[in-house]
Amino acid sequence: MTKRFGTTISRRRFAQLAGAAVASSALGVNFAVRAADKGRVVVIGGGFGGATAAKKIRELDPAIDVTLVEPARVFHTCPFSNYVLAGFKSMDDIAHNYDALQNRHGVRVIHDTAVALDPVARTVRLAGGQTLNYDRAIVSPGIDIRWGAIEGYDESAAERMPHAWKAGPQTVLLRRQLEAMPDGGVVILAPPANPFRCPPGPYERASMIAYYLKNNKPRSKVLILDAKETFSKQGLFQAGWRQLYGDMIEWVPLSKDGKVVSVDPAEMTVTTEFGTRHRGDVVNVIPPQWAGKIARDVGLANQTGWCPVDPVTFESTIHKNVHVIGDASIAGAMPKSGFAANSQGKVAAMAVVNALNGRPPVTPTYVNTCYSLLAPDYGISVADVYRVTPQGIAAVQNAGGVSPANADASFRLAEARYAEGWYASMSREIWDA
Amino acid sequence: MWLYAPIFGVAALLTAGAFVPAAAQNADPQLLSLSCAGCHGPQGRSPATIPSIYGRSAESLAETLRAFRDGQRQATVMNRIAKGYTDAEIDALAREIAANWK
Repeated sequence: MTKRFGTTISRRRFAQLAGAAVASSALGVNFAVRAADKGRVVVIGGGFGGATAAKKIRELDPAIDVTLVEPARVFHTCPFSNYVLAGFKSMDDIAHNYDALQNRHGVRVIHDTAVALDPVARTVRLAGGQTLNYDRAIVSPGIDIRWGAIEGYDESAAERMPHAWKAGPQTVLLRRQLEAMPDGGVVILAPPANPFRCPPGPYERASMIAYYLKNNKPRSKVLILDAKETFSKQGLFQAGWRQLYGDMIEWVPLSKDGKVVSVDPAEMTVTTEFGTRHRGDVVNVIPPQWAGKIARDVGLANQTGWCPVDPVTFESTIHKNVHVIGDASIAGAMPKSGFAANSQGKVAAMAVVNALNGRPPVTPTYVNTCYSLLAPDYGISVADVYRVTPQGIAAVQNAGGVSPANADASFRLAEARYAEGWYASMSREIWDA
Repeated sequence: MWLYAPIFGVAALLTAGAFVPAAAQNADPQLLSLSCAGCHGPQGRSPATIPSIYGRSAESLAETLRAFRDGQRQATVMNRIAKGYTDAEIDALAREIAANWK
């Protein structure tokens, strides 16, 4: 199939760009003017899922009009945000803009917030008042924090005990708190029960904080109070922690009174299930989560707070012609990760393009590879290939898995280098970074 | 201004959920190749440390994937990933990439 960069825009869009046409020509960018003759797609959310889907639809069929609604002009990725906390990456390193999607691929990007969706009329209304029509919608809103699920953890609490589970100001806040902490302090991390965004994320974060502390405040401690009994890549993390950080990181599982049930931000204490109170100099609460607000507000979520979808196309099983991808979706065995959202974005894009071209859905394949750094030169990974089974999306048996337990230093170094490589490749693929 | 062909037939099939494929069905070749791009870069052109995979013959790509799958060639993550695809998917994937990522 011929791959073309998006070269078609609607007549309405051309009129908007009329003033920029001279500058565009001077830059050698070609815009062919064509009406949206195959249909219109509205994508809500410009993260790993939505931006992937929007660009892929334009690449697969430039005759399809695509509008992407994303409030942020600059998107900061959660992946690699832990390295900002460690101190070896900056917020700029994890920042992406929508220029390429707009100027090279012909996606109409609107920086606004979707506040309503009418599945019958097939419209999306934005906070600024605009109404968009769609033939197909793709909703990729990520997660929202379940405020109040932990007693006392509301939005104001997050200003004192950041979650930093959406990258941006919360990441900067947590980093500043780590910088301000004296040597010998205690950093508390409180990860939630499943399901949540990025299963290995809290443990990579503990590693990155330990890396920073070991090199700057070596008498400090990291205390993980977990609502779970086990965690992603646990064997690899715990072996690596011992090797790299000695006994700096302590992990308390659910059964040993690890679950945080309430917080007191003024006192900087958290209280666990059996009534134990812990005080932290820095407290990173990663609370229970659910699908991003727009998905829940427009009825795409079920009683779990996440969105059920057809595993072949990611079309919602509640509202027809609306696909939900990424963290907000219920995706069987796939984790809630940026990589998974990218994988689902490709499948949903192809499903939408096939539907708008009157073609039947194809058999999908999904993949996820999550890299975690325990130190800048020590990486581990978990990978799986997925297919659709009668029970939904399942990992292919006798495939995938985690990095070997007995790998040597050069293997860990190679995976750390590939972690960087993955980020560069996927950033290029999604945002032309 | 919506100049698109009605697709009610397909929509009805989707609504009925009739298209859940059997577990044995091989995945679409284009989606298979798109799976690789997440790490190996768009059109197989990697900007950084992960090897690029464009400009290779289908035979070379398929042989490499089988070598990873069967453990004859050691990698960090590719041994695990290559095991996730059937023989037919490896062949289709290799043909798709060779034909399009030049």
